[in-house]
Amino acid sequence: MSVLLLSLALGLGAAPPQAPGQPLVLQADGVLTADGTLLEDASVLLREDLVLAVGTSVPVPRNARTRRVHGILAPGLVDAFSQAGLADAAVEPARRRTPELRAADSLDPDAELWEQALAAGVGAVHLTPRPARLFSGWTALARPGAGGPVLLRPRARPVVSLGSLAFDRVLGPTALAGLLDDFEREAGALAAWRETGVLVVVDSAEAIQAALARAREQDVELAFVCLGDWPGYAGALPAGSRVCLPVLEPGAWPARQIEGWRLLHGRGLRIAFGTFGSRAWAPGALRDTALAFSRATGDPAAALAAVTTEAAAFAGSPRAGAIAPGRRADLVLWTAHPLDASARVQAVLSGGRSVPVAPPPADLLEMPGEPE
Amino acid sequence: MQIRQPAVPRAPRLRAAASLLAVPVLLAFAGARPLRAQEGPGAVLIEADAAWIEPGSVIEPAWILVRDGRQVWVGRRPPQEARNARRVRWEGTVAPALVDAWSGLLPADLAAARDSRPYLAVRDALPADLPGADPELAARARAQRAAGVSAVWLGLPRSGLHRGRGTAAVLGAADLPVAAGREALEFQLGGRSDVSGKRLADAERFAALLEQALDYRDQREELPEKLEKYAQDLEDWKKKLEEYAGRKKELEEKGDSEGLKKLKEPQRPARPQPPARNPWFEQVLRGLDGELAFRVEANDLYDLRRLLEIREEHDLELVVVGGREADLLAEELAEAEVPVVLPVAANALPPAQEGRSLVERYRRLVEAGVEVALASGGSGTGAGLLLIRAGELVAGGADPEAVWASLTTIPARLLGLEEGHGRLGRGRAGDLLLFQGRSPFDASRPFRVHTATQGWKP
Repeated sequence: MSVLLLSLALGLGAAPPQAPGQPLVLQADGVLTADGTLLEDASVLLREDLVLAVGTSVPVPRNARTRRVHGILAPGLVDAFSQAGLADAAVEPARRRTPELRAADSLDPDAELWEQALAAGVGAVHLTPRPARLFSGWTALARPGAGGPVLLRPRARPVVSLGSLAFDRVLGPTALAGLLDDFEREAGALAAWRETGVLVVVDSAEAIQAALARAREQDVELAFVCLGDWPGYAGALPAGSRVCLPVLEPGAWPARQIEGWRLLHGRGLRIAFGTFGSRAWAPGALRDTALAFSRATGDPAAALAAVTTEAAAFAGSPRAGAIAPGRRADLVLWTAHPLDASARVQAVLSGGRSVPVAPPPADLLEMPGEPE
Repeated sequence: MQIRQPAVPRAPRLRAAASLLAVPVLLAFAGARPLRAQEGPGAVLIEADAAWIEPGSVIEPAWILVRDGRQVWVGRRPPQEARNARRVRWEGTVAPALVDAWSGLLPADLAAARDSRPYLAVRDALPADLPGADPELAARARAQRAAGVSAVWLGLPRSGLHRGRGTAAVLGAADLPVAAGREALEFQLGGRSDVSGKRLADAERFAALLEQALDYRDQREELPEKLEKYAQDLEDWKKKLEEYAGRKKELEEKGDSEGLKKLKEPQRPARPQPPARNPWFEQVLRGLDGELAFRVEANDLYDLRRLLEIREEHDLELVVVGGREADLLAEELAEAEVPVVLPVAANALPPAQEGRSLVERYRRLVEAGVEVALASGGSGTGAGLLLIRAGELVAGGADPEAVWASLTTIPARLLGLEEGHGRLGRGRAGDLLLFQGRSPFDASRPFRVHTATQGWKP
């Protein structure tokens, strides 16, 4: 049923099946571009899983199919840091270092996350090993799809944990001083990751300063994941840093966190949001947080970027998080701007293919989005 | 830019003619007094594309003059007496600020108080609205204001049947809550998490409390009658005492020792004592007399059903707070005209209860005719979620006007603040929401809050 509704919403129901390689032009009431600009009455030209062109006057190839859809086409949201969707915690408790551990190997295709993610308009999830070791392993990028998750990048970025999660009473270290000492002695390993850059998980200003000092020596780009009471220490991050912050927990609106957003946004940090563990995950938490961030900072473009382009960049993915030529065709059709709380997902195009989403409200057929 | 200095507002021709005549007079005074001094320092005249007066009522364009913390003009034309007010142009819509029907905006010591006396009143424990009186509370209140809230309900966050007396409040000039509007007696049914079954008895304890309060009143009301009877008994006793004294004297004169032995002195009657004063029962009686409402947090079907029975038995003015399963009794609540305060922040259901999301529950209540007020949920930090969750209700199919009423007019009425909050109009509070786009739920468009007590801040 939901497949039928989705197809109707995308205007694909009455048309013959799309031939392989045939371009598709989606004409929408609005298209959100990579910089957050809303192009009104614009089109997206797609072929298979690739966006070819975006704009208000997109040239239509002769063999292209054209469909008119009502609503706003936006990129699929990107969860910048998540351990949900993994069959276990992606950690090896018996070893002090697991630099080659891959979160991708723990991917759980049956996790409810994937269906929830689709319904919430999430197009990609950056899966991370549990940061319980100094060298924790590799992250992976996956996208939800009709038949379960699809791995896009099995080795996205390495994770270095300089936070208290890496303390271990049995294997050590048991305190920050010991962890930073280990890091000092083994920081030469960072040089091997110049190409991918490194995610550093921190929960203190001392850890940030240590990581920055070693990264300068090794000429490695860092992106930070802030855990714990981050408003208390994230001010140590230099302007322009990439940082992933946790989404708001369901039902929470902590004033300290909101003030922390304002502070970091004002200092020019490049903020992305992640759901972190399964506990914080709830359908829509990512968008809820973007809505709150927009209200708190008055900067909708930065709010949208935090769950799209910045999140994709944080995950080391150059092809997710934006509707732009050369990017993946992960599109979500919303009834209005995705930062409008009264908007809802009408349809999802993942990798150029329409996929069923959770059962929509019964009155979806009466909403804009029906085929013309 | 969304805000710009507008062109001089169009005024009626007659007014223009009058202004021309006034030019020489003004010129004569120009050197003696500044031209811009008629309005108070905070007076601001907002010209907007539209104004949401109340649910279902919109005017286009809109002119709103706020002076001394109050709206003094709301109309499609500019007011005639506001030429010296600061003028701002808002390319969007103006709406009244929100009313949070259940907030935890309390001083920290009050929120953490372990004093279990049930008759404690929040109103008596609020700090004065002065700068520096409670900086921590003021910071949280500013966060509420930034979220668009101008009035709140304050109740003690106790876990247990008795929660004391809560109050409505408005946010004052120093960003502290100032008691206003109504007070209500607050209770919580089923709040304890024990497994002994005691929580199931909360509704019965609540019913028993009302009966005890009525007994208390009966005892006090019977006292004058008892005193009257006592006075009569005293007179009788005096007569008997005189008779006794005479008879005794008589027998003594006769030397009748046997008669004296048999003669008994009459006992003085005992003066009836009033029942010990019980301030809690007295407050409950104020509620039973309709002077105070009963706000009862109840979530489970059992408690809600019993609560409705108690309401009918005692004809209570009842507000249900929480109401996690209130939608299952939507028709009964509507028939009894019992409103429900639905928290948006902390009202999660167990995952097994699919199909009963906040959206579904809200819709069922509203469609049945129940008045629903949305609230942040007593946490003191959730006000920012109000517009987001409200927007999600609309996304889920709820009627936008009903949702807007649940954020403004309905909670204003429940808090007894309907004369000053929840809608636009002359004399009402000057706290305003200014938004662009379709609705204030849209965070992709500019949004700001005008705080009447602090003036216009560009």
